[in-house]
Amino acid sequence: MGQHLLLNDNTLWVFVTCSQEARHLDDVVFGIHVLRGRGVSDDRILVFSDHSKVGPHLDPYAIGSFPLSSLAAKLVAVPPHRYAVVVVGGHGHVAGLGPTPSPPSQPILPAHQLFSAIRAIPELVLGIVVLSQCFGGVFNYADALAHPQLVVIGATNLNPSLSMTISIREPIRQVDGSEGLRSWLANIFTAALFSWLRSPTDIDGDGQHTLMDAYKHAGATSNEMLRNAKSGLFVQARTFEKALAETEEELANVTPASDPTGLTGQLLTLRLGAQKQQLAEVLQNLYLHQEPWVLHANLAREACFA
Amino acid sequence: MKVINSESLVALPREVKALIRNGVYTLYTLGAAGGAAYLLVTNRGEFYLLSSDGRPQDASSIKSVTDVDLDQVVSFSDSGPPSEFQVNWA
Repeated sequence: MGQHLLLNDNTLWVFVTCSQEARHLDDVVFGIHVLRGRGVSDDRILVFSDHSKVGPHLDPYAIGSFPLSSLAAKLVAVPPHRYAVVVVGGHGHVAGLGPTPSPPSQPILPAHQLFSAIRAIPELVLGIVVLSQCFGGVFNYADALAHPQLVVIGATNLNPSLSMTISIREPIRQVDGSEGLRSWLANIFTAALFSWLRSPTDIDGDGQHTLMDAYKHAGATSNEMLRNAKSGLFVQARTFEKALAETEEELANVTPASDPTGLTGQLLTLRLGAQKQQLAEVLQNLYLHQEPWVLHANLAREACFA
Repeated sequence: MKVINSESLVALPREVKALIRNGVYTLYTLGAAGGAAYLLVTNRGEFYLLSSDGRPQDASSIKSVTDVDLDQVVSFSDSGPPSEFQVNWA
């Protein structure tokens, strides 16, 4: 058995997300759904988000949250925990966690600041940080051996992270019992990681369910999903490109005389923006690759999940 | 969360619906906003007030989600066309 056994009563789970997009909060909903299924109690789960309207997204699942800006102040004041698993998502910036471009009103959260906040959790022995955002590699090469020690896992290195639409067979129920989340553009590494946590498997054959197994499963599974989608994405890119060109032509033909209210132009602009977004997503998944990484691999082999 | 059939938004382009379905764009119901039924927020921070059939209305006064009385997040009961992005999990 590994040196560190992560149990429901000794582990704090922390979700950190930096994004205004619902899909990144959906990643959190899915992760917490898996943790609840494993018997993790809500008082051992914390969510930090900078989303400007987080309530309508998380309240239906009885998930509370704190502003991202309060991360350090909250973590230093939580009850003592031997272990913490911090799952970071949303948008990554070349200087840390944050959107690109970053508005002046929003400071970037750099690696040192994040790691310092995690290390301040009272009586922490080991912190596990999973980074799923773009440019996660800027958090690599930290001093993971300082105490408390950290294992840091990145979904990808110094390049964008990737997402795909995931549908789950059974929708996640809301607190009122109605059907909720069932399909979203999921961060594929995080989704695969929680898929492993839902039903851990021994990837390397050492007889244990370790963090290293989770890392290998999430990295290989997410890249296999990408590879399987490539040929279809190539065809889809051509279809999207054609539709986008048609909308551009339509918009170019709109004049004040033909559109006195301006609403037709607005509708075409809205459609064009959506088509550009769809094409960009397809091209990213078609041409980019994810290279997961782990810092402090020896410790990742010692961290076991019950 | 308010669940509707996306076909009720007849004026809204299917590409926009696909991005709402994926959580890249977000559609909210409104408590009170001068006749508009929904607020659409894109991932570029743009805002569109929409009528009940999904037609854009003038949203020039909206600079932030805090400028309007948001009620619920909208999701669609129908799954939309299949995509190459799609992965079905048990």
